Amino acid sequence: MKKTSSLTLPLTVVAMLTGSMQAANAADKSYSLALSNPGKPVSIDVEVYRGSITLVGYKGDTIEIMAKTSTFTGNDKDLKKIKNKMDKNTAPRSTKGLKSVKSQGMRLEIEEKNNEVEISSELPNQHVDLVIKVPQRSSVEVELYKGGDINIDGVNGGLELESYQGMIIAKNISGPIVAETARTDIVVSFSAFAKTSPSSLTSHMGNVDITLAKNIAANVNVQTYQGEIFSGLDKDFVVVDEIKKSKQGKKQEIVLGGSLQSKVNGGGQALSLISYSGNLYIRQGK
Amino acid sequence: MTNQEIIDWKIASLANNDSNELSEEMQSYLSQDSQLQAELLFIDNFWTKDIKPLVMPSDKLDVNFYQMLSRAQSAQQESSQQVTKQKPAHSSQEHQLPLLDRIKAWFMPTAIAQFATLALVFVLGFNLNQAPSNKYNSDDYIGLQQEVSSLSTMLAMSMLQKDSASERLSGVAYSRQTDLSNPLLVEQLIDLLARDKSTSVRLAVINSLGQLQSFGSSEQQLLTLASQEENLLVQIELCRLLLNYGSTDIKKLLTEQANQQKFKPEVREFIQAQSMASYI
Repeated sequence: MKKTSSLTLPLTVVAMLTGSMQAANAADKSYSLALSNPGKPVSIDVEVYRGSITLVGYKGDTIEIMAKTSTFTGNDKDLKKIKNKMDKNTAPRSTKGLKSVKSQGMRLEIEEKNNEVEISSELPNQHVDLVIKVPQRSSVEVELYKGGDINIDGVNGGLELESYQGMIIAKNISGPIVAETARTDIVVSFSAFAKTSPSSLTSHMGNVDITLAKNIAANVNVQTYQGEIFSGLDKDFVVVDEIKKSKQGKKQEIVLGGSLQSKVNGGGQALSLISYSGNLYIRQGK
Repeated sequence: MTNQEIIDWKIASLANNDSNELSEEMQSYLSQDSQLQAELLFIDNFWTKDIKPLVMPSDKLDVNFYQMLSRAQSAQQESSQQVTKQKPAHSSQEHQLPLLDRIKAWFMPTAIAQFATLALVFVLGFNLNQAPSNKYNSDDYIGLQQEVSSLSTMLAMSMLQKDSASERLSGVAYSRQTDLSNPLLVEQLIDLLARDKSTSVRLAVINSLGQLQSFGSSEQQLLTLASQEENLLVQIELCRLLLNYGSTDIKKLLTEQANQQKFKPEVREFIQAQSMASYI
């Protein structure tokens, strides 16, 4: 009995802390943004310092933004550095007889011009969870520094995703996609694969896990230094040797043992998966 | 003066954004070639108009590019057809060898020598007849290859400047279709390697630089980039590039720097492993 309470107490405290952190000065807002040129290509650029970002493609022609913000009260070394700097520059003031008034507002900037949409939340002490519905054809650029994950679902345009602390999870996409994380995983499920430009997924320390729909044709290149590679593809990975020939054909240089490649369904546009210490998983979808 | 020189001048002036005028010699050459004028106009339009990813490469560029490619391919095909036409002549001579052996047994050596001389004259004549035509096709083919390479260079240089990482990756892919003989393209690639924020683009650039015949004056710059690099993946690949294709001096310098612990431990380990492998 005693054992049970000692286990449940810390969990409850963590849950309460998290709850209070999320609840502190939380504000929910939603906004529907009409595009200047409906039916034309759309580009969305989202930059968030702290929080999570979810983008869902839909058949509509407006941008639907739902934001939930709260003041970040957790421990953050970077935030402490900023606060210490500010404290050094300002003398302490008396608060005697004053009540603390907490800020209720959120700061989220949204700009649109000629179907180019920019959404940003750059305050380090604000946590923002964004859910954005975008036209399926949108091309998307997302940068998230701290907090949660980047989630993408059903967006058919080009994707450029960068997350420093959280995961990148994208499904029902066709790319081209260029994604990068530092220590966390990248999980991508392709329903089709764009031929316009190469795609590349790089995680420095995390795993890269992709699923390719059965009819996708691509040249899948894999490279990991300390991780392992697991493939469910019918087509094996083979070593691509490098051959250099001079213009006049006088000199040839051949390096055996280059990168590993699998030409899926006869091959196509390049899809590179790279990690230093993470594993690479290549799955065959339906 | 060649078309190639004028196209190279055009690309260089667009890339550097300078408005240097053509020399008189170039102007007079250009005024006599309406096709070249059209090509320059096309390059100008392509460069100055921002092309969105969905329509890239442009339809017009597609048409021009694939026309050139098809001309190059048909020239190559004609060349190879003529080579294959020659093959039966050689092979029929080879088939005659056992027959000659039999004849050798039946006739005097002088008759065999006469037959061999006749055969030799026939083969030489056949080859000499074909040689000018082959040379013409081969020159034509090399010329077209150069034109295709110029177009790829132009595309690469234009796309390396795009905001989208995916388009810059396309630019790097186009650069691999050239022989990287244009120093401006190499300069642009190295610049991208030094400052691009996408690791994917930087790794692709390193891969592309592996196509260079020689790093030349860029070698020292690449070594400096390698030693100052903070991105582990980029640093390892830069070291691999220099160890695989660098000069003996640069490999020595790189190994010395690794021994002086100027690199991250993972990179030092990599350099040591590569150095050991080269000794084996």
